[in-house]
Amino acid sequence: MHSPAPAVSISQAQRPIALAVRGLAKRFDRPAVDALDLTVYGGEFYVLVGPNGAGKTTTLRMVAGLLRPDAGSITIDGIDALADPVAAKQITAWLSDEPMIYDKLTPFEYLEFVAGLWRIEAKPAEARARELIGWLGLEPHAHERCEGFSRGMRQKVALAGALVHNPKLIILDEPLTGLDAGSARLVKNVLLERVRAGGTVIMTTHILEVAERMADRIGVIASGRLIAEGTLEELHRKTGKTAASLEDTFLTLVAEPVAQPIAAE
Amino acid sequence: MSRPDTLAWLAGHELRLGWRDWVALMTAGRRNRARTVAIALIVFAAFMHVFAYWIVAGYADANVASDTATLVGITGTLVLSWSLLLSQAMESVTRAFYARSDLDLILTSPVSARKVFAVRMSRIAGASVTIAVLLAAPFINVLAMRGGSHWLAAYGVVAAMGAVATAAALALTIALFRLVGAKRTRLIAQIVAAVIGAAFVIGLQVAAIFSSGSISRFAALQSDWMLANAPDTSGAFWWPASRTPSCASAAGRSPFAAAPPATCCGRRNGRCSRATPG
Repeated sequence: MHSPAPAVSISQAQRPIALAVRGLAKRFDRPAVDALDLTVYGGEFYVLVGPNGAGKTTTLRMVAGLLRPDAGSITIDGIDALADPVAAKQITAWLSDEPMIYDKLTPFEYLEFVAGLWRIEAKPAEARARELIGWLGLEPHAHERCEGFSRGMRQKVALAGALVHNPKLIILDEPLTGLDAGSARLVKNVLLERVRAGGTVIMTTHILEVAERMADRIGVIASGRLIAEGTLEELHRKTGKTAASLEDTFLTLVAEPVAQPIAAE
Repeated sequence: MSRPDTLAWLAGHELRLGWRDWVALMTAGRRNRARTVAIALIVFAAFMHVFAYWIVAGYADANVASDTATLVGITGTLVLSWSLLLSQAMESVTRAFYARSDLDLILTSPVSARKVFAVRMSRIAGASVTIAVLLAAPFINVLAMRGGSHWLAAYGVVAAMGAVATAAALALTIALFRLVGAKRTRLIAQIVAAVIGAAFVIGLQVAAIFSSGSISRFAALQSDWMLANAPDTSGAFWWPASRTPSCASAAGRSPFAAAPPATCCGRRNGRCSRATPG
């Protein structure tokens, strides 16, 4: 199992910043994201948790380039994602809670198409697709159309698509929703493997045990603002519940009125 | 094989998806039904040609006169055909821009959004044109067989109507997007598409019932009131309809946009048929 990162204050100074979000704001009928600051370091597994409607998905959609923020800046691996979205997207992957794969394509065709979107030429794309299909145990179905696939298999194909261009930053919105235990385990292992290999993962989840067991750092978001952030131990300390589960800590944090963000030191 | 991230490559992807969707629709997902479906399509096409022969064969040599009754009939038919194409195109635009979840995947990639939407718009235009051409084909073919190859030019006119309908659908959808925002555009566009498709037909039917007690849609178009209040035949209003007979002269008596339905109108209506002897 992946062990949590050491004390953030030590490692942060040495790690490159994979994602820096400053003063991010987005308003629909009401403010969805409100002056959000967020920093994710290279090689880090960062999990965003928060109640429904807290602004997690909106934040990630802005980072992925699917929504234009009303204010603020997004920097991915030193690239201003708002000024140069193409360069930022080249090193980023996005996987939503409803994985999109084409029913009428086979996993192999899908991966070739996704590789093409990232301008990978046919031969290397084919090799990469074969590698991922093997890795995710999809060989028996590699040349079947995806229309009859279970949710778990679809998620695997979508995950393979997210990895096909070897992204530095993977952004996932509720990737484990609706997956059976085996598929969820495989997805988690793949993500941890990416982090071990130096990649950066940022994901949202409602499954607090997942955040507890997998995350290097956890961000708690409520009403569009980051109200707490840190390792599991740091979050426990902030709430004074050192022996509590993340669930207790989370419920304590989100129950507090949102005033000033209490990010980790 | 074209290079990734080019227009041709994206178009190839759309074509592949479109073809597989169409085959699945036709065969209900069973590939072993392909032969049966092919035979059924041939039989249907043959039936449509027989039907078209019954309707328009007598009008292949018609000399369309530019009197008010004819122009009103042709214009009404043009508007009817075009409004149905517009409705279909709006439905397609809404589906392509707001219902296809692959936009998330594509728009998070470095591929140019402009290229993606250009290809998508072309696909919608292609689908609209194909539907229009396929529906008109039996009539045009019969007219061409009976009256000469100049009738084949109608394919171009029908294709142009499909393309213009797509352009109008895109403009309407973008206007809706600006007016009501992305969230509500999908729903409103679908309602507008349905209303546009039905409004003209229902309007004509209601007008016919109230004005002449007839349930024929074309009765209202050919009513005394309509003919008395129609603009002067030399006016620009009639340009699309009046160009059609003129086109015929210019291109060796070439056809007009809604030639088959307009001729159908002629067959069904005394006034119209006076202008289209045959």
